[in-house]
Amino acid sequence: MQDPVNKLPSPAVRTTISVVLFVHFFSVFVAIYGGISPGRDGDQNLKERLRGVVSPYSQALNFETTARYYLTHATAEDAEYRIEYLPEGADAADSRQWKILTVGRPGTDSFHRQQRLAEILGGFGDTQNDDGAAILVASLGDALHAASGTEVAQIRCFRHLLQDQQDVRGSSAERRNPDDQSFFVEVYRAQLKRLRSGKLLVRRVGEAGQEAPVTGSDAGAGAGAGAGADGASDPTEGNITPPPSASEVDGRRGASP
Amino acid sequence: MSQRENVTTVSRTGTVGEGTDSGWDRFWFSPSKPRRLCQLRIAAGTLALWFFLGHTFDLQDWFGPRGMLPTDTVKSLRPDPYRWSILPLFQESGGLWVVHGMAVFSAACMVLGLFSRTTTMLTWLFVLSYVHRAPMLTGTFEPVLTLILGYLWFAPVGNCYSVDRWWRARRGRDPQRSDGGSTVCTLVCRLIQVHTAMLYGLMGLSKLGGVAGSTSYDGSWWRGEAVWWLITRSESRLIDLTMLHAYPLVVNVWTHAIVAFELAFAVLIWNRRVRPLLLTAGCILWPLTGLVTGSLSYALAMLSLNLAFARTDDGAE
Repeated sequence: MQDPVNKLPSPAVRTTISVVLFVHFFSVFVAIYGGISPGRDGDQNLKERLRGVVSPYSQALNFETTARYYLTHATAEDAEYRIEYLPEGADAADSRQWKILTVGRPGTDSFHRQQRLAEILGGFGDTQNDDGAAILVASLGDALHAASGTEVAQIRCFRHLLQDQQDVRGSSAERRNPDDQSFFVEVYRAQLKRLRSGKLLVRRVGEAGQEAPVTGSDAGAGAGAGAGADGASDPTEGNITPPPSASEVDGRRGASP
Repeated sequence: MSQRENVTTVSRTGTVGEGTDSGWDRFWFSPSKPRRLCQLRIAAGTLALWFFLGHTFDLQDWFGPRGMLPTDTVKSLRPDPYRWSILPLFQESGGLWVVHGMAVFSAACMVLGLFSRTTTMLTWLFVLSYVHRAPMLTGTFEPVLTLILGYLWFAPVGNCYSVDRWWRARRGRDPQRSDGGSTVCTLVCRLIQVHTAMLYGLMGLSKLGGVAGSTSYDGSWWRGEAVWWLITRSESRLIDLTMLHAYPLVVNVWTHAIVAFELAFAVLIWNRRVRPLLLTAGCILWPLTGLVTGSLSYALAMLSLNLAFARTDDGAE
């Protein structure tokens, strides 16, 4: 039988390739394992610095990922999210007039992209990142306006809580229905107003039911100026129900056993 | 003397360093045939085609000039400096459609094996462009797809099951000549295998260990409950298995089986005897995971990676 060893590349080529392989897999290792806990603060710093070193390579080739390969950790963030919008002139108090932002059908990549978008907005709502939320909501408002020709008056984001096994075993019909209202917690709501400049003014509705000015919302595409700029008034003030408090949200996280 | 016998002899008679050298060389550089890489080309090309076609219906909604995620918004939300994309160069509707059409055409050519290496490389670059256009929208599927495509185009993936091969035969060139083994095929296959094993390790460890920055990990994979929390994601799931509330043991076994499978795959896939068992387990667990999570593309991509570990008719592994 022919000895395949004779067909190997020359030692110099093998050595060079071996070094390249080591550098490549070191970068891949840092890129994909850099996001795993546990680790002390010092370890995290080291991970971040290493990630920074290899990031030109790992980001450009998409080795660096923050995707949820753990699928779920049964935390609040692992619930599902839903974005709803209210066309201008509709009654905010009437839940039937809110439209669900839907892209694609379950099982398709489009659907997952839309879910991740909702998750990002929900995350901004949870962490009180009003700047990030304003940028995203302004883009959404513009896109929805371009698609339908109707201005959007409000956008809100719900966390869709998960059913405990006790819920499904079921005391009541409501608890057995995963789409029952009790499984939805509003984590973000904003009012939108088109300014004379054409930009969208985004105002988060605060916990007390008051408008919360969005700081720095001029950043990004089309995000509006701060509250009250351009003499904008709030057309739907008084119809808005305050979102639940943070403790209320945390207390209802779907995954706690 | 067979290759394995030859190497064993070297290991026994030489020094430890020599044995390691020969093992390393055999692992990375001994020639192998491109057949399974060609099979992987068809699988990955089909997934890429599915990925692009999935964008067709909402291309403008996401990436259009008045879409939900304009380039400026993406830069503000995710300022990754090294993520590049050609899509922002074609912001206008017409240009975007042209690029999209080229991406679909490239993936279709890859599946058929037409100018295989070139179209595989182009497909990879197009997928990266879509991914980097809005990285916050990508999930578990896209990194797996770019992993396969990124390595695959180095290999002669048009040597089997391809229009290229048919065309060569038609023009009187001997297609058998291109069936010979090459070091590049081994290198590419090993790169995919090692990267896949690392990915499996990540999956298993991140389930058990939590994620950096998260303080709310509650150990559901340790307790055997995690699959239940996947089942109850009512908007994403493709099948409703909530009746399993009456069978908690099934949920527990399923949860632990996923973790055990992933951790075992990372380590034991290199063992010839265990490998068929792991590949079979993957064929059962991945479709189930896909149906429960709704991530069919991800499940199919992971199943495709099994091809990189399959034994070929020339005995290569």
